[in-house]
Amino acid sequence: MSLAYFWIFIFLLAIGTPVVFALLIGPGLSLVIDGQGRYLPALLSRLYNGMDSFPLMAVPFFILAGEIMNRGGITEALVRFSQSLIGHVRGGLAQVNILSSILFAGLSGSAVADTSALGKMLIPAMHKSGYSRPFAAAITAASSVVGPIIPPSGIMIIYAFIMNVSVGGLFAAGIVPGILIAGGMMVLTARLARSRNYPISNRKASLRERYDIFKISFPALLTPVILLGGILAGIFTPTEAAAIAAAYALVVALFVTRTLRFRDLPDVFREAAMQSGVVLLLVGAALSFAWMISVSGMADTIASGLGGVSDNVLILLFAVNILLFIVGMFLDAGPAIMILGPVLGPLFINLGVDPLHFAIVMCVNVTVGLATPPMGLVLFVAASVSGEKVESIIREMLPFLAVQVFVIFLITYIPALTMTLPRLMGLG
Amino acid sequence: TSAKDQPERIITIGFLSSPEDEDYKGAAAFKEVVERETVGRVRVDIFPSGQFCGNERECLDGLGSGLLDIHMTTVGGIGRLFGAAQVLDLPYLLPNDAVAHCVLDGPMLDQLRRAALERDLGLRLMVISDTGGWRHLATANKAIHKPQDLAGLKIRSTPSAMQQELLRLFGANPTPIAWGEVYTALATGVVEGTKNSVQDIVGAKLHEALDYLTLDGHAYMAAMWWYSEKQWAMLPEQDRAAVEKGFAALKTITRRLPKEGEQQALDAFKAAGGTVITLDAEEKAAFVKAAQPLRAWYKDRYGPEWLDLLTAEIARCEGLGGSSRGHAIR
Amino acid sequence: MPENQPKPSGFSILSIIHGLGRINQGLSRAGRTLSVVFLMAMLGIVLLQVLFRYALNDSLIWTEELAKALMVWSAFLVAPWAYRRGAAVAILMLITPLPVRLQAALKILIDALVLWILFVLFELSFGFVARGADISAASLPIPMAFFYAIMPIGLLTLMSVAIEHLLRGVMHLIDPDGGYPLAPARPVIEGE
Ligand code: NA
Ligand code: NA
Repeated sequence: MSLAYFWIFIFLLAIGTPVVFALLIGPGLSLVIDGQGRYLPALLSRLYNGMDSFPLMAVPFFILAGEIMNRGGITEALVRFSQSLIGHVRGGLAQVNILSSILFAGLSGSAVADTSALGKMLIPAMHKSGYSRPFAAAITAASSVVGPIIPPSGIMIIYAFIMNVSVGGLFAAGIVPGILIAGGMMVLTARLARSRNYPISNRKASLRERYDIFKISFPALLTPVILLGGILAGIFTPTEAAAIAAAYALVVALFVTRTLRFRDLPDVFREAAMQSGVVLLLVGAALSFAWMISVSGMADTIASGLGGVSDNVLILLFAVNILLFIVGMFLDAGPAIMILGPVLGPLFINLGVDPLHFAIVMCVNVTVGLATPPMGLVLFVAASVSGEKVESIIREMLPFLAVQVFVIFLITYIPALTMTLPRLMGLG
Repeated sequence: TSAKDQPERIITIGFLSSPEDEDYKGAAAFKEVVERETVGRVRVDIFPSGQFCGNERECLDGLGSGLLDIHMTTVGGIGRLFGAAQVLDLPYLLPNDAVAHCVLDGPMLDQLRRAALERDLGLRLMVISDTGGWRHLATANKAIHKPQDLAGLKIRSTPSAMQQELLRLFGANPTPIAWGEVYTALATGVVEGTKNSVQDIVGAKLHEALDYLTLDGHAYMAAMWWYSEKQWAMLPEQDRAAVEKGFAALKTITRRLPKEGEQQALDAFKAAGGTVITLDAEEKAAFVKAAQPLRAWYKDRYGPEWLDLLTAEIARCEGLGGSSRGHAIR
Repeated sequence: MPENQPKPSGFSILSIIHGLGRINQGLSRAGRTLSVVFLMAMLGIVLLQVLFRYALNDSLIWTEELAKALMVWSAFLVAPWAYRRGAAVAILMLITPLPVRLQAALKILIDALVLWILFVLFELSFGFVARGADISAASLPIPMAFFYAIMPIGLLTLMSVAIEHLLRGVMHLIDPDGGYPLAPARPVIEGE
């Protein structure tokens, strides 16, 4: 079978075809051209069965939970809490932005959700306090990348589902890289704040004020505790935890903080249904495309091409990081994992790399790609939220990107950074 | 070798097991024999790990539509399409490997094939081999010596009605968990046990979360290999002969490997600190008795014919001396 | 949105587009509403599953399979609405610098190809559903065909939207000022 489907797919993407259709038309057209119409039913079958998966159910539930938290003011409570902690240092609001991303990451599994939720609040606030808009947008986008790295993570669920590794293990492996990226960004921000003389946003909060804000944001801060605690106590599975998160957010917003009214619910569910429908169909279509890759033998072509670079696993890991980073520039994290995971995973597992270690390197790498041009969904969202040009945001983002690339290589070559936690938790 | 580059026909094998599994090695033997016998006119492509079709139902649909040529199911896997075949999964009927092989190579194979073809499902049964030995009970915190020990325990199983019923007869709480989530579910205590072959337990690293393995051997892990009837109809006579030779090779290897793998897996289970419990005759009898009502359950749904046939076949094979070459770990 | 369009005068392409637009508007709204209902049901069922297993130690067998089916239905039911509103992820940065006419021509090519693949899949979906009549659901006493039925339903509705897109695109190319607005494109996962 020819590789025509791949070039058709690239062409269709370039002319603005919705990705979900490009993933189906490429293989479909290619099969017809090659006279292999016998295989067309596979596209339909993969589309349905690709979506018909229990672990995948975490995706709509986390989208729903995020939507409820946005509408119910839970996101806002987290920002205020961060502000009361570090709003008084130089460049404080920039640090608040990063800290809020970490806290938000514990609730949501999507970098795009983080960017739009936090960006809407923080970019105008930062601009008012004297930061440039491009910088505010850049730091929002760059720090949102930790969203799917710190658990829970929609991308990791997709990887675990396709490559059959433990979701819990992958979640545990993501904690350290997430903290390293956020920590590195905070250090960088502190230096920038001094050299660029960034403003101090508010006076130091008193203990009393901090306590008051803590009380308000307490239910939101409790979410990761409930999720992780419930999973570890054997009350629910990681997939079910997503449903628990949505239910918990609903109860908190409706009855505890009372920031969401019953009449808001249809709107919240409608938005969540639309977003998750689009993502799920993308997953199904990507599995149709992955089937085509598998049957056409393209996976072997890439694997042997990469294998031809060197037989030293350290050099190969370097090469694959470069490859993934370039792929990440053009493809979103989800499709990148779905298309390349089954190709690259076995190659490295055969070379003795732990499946979980490779999984986390790949997940972090393609997640960072979410914020890189030209195809960076996070970047687009930051641009639309801030009203700034993509190019000017990119310029401000470069130093942060450098931190992220550094962390990618750190976790690539020091497996203990990612593997220790899952092993301690018995999930490695 | 232009014949090899441009094959006249491609036979596609797709299944869910990984390349580490004996199913893959059996398929590889099939490929070698068929490609040799047809001197490269036919090429065999093997797609493991759900690359071609992601679940049992989808693979069977692929056979029906002619998209896929060959697929392997367990008895439970075919149960939703051809329920009567579940007779092979009735607990504690087949006594050991030798008798199981004798029964499954005997006239029952032809009769099952004919029955499936008569149902017009587009599935042709080729051989019934082995996919990993015998199914046992494995638990996380509690040693199981008698059915009562299972009372109230959440035991993972497939949603198959017969498996659920068996666990309920033991007094357990049958809990369906997707295979990909079983490890986490056992590690965190969402479920407290599972029933699988030792190889599958060790292959999925479940033994890290399990402490006890009770070798009750309630079912033989039969592997039913199916050919798409739509594709079979288009297969020339000489290629059919090559395919049958290929399946003979597949059967030989997939019956030998689980035997070797079982001992290694047991060693791994023990090495990880697990306790292996062998039941004495009296203990085993208690399990057999507890599971007895499942035979009536089966007859209510699918009639007595298949069960009568199986019982008769077991008696015939035991008469041939099958029982003297007993299974090592039952 | 119909209110932004000029009123159709007599029988014309415009009136066809207008009628189709109304049908699609109704269908996609109904689909979206059902999709919301199914999403809520999914949430309820999974919570019930946890409750029965953990609190009552009496695991429900049917919850997982039903929730999965509801998820697939929910995705396909909301798809026509999302597609009609241009709410699908696409890369537009490479075509925006192109001349408007060329963009319109490319959009016609895309919609034609989309219509083609939807039709191919729609045709195949009948065999898929028919074979699903033979196999029962794993945990419910109904044939899989009931679950599979969403494929022809969803694909047919999507085709209807694709035809509307295509007609609008062709008319827009012929007469750019004639009032055949293309669906607005926006990145989808904005989480507003
Ligand atoms: Na997260
Ligand atoms: Na990107």
